[in-house]
Amino acid sequence: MKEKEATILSFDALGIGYGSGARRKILLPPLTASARRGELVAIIGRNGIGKSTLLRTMIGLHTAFGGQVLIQGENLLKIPRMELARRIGYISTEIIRTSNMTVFDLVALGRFPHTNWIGRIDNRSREVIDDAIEKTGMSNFTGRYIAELSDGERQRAMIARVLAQDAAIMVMDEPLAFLDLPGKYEIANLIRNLSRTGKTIVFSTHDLDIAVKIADRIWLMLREGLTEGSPVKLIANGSFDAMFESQVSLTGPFSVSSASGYLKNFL
Amino acid sequence: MKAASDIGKNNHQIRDYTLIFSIMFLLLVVFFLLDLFLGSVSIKASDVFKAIFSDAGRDIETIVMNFRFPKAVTALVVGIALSLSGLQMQTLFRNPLAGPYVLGVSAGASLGVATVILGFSTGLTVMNLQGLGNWILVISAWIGAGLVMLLIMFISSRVRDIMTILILGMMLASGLSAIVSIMQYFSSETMLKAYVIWTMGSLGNLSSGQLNVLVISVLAGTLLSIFSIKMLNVLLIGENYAGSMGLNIKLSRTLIFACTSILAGSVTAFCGPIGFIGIAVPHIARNIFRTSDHAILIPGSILTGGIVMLISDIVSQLPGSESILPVNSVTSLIGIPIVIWVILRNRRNSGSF
Repeated sequence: MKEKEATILSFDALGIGYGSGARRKILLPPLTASARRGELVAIIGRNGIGKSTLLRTMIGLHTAFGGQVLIQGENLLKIPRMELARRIGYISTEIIRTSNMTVFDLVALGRFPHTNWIGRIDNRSREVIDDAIEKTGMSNFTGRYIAELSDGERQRAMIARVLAQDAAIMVMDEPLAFLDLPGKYEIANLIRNLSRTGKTIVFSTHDLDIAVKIADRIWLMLREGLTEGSPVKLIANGSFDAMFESQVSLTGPFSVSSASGYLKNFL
Repeated sequence: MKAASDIGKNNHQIRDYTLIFSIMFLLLVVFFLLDLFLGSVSIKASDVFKAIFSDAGRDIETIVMNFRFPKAVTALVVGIALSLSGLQMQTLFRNPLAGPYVLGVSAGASLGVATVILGFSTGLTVMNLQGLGNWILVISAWIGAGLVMLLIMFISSRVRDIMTILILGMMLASGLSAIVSIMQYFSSETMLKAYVIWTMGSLGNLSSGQLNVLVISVLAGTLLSIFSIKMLNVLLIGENYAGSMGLNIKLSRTLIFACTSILAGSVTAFCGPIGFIGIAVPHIARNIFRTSDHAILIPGSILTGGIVMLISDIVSQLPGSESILPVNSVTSLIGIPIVIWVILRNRRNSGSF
């Protein structure tokens, strides 16, 4: 039990932004948050607040402007890139449509940080790939070209690829976007189940109701900074209200201010 | 909507690669021999064999061993080099229309060569006949090609739309040719003559020294490309994912750049710009092998490129007649329909690669 409680991912006074030199733009006040082993973390925040930038900074694709990211207690910048890829995997919002690439090919790419110089798939890799395909329910799709998959199937294939990468932490940028309602629940359920097998998963989403139902912890990104806590705690103390402050003052049953009241239903 | 029982039936059969490779290798050998047999002078097949393995009389032996054999080897090597560089560029830029000719890499190599021949001493034309001049020529072509690759990389980091990149590449190629024209205008008569002879350079004009340099360069480029297999595979899903899986983007870019510049630059240095092989052959190979795995596509493109270039050479000789077509127009006629097909297919699939 003690192992499960251990913090696996954290950052302290992390400055996120883009650009460099005089043109660099820092998005938010310094951010601090953490995730424990096997936890499912949802990042909530409005468009443009910096969710993707935070995710990219956490996996080392973006340089942090101050502060540091700790992965299993080690500074991200000190971990060699191949070793880092064996600890943390990533799914972006980019849709992959590479021609002539089968689902198996795509999932096998996940073995990149584990294979030799020419990328040979040995028996061990083969087992991990088959297991990843099985866990994501893609067994009947292995020979299918990814350009022919539906959005939901493609997302499951992408998750299988990260699973094959065999990293303890998985970071996903809006894995529920572009999906229809059954598709959203399918992927949400899959993510939830994976986190129960011990994976630490951090994902960003706009589907607040799904997030509060499945996440163990929420990182709420507001202009004032990041607030973290369990969904119940954040709803109860009214943290979400700040997100629903609108510049546009329209009233009615679908007004933005009525949405924060709706969340109380989850308590 | 698919019925549950239909799921899985759509799986694509993995092709029997050993069989395809064997057939293609056989075809390569056949077309290589045909290239030796067919030419403006008709020689009996048995005499060609005699010329290669024993003695067939002086005239025939001269034609076969001093002219046709080096030309067939050149065609083979040129086909391999251009196809490989095209394949690597298409994956690196994730652009099905990338190729050394259309994106101006060949033009960059031409500018490199023009700078050497037109810009420096007339003594070089003499040196050309000796060993060192060939290396100077080929290295300047590499540098020219490499600089254009850098420029295209810079453009494609800003512009995602592949059609825009293609148009910019063509502008770049025209611009570079314009610079070469201006250099021609201001150069002396002897230099100009040396340069014009080079631009007419086809597969058949290589001295044995030049052929050696070409073969060594292409061999080096091919070996380097084997080391890029794993990188190219992961680059297929984009640099973001590749980086997140541990790929050193800068190192792999440098390796692939060096590789394509050596391959496309060397060919341009000795045979002039040859169009549409680099862009078309990878698509033929992808359609034959139906895979995105470069461990298959690299040898596949090598075989396909060799075969296509040998066919182009055979056609350009118009067997039985005494006239010879420029090989560049033959490769264009073969390549352009394939490029048009790729553009049309790409419009339907909204830019998928």
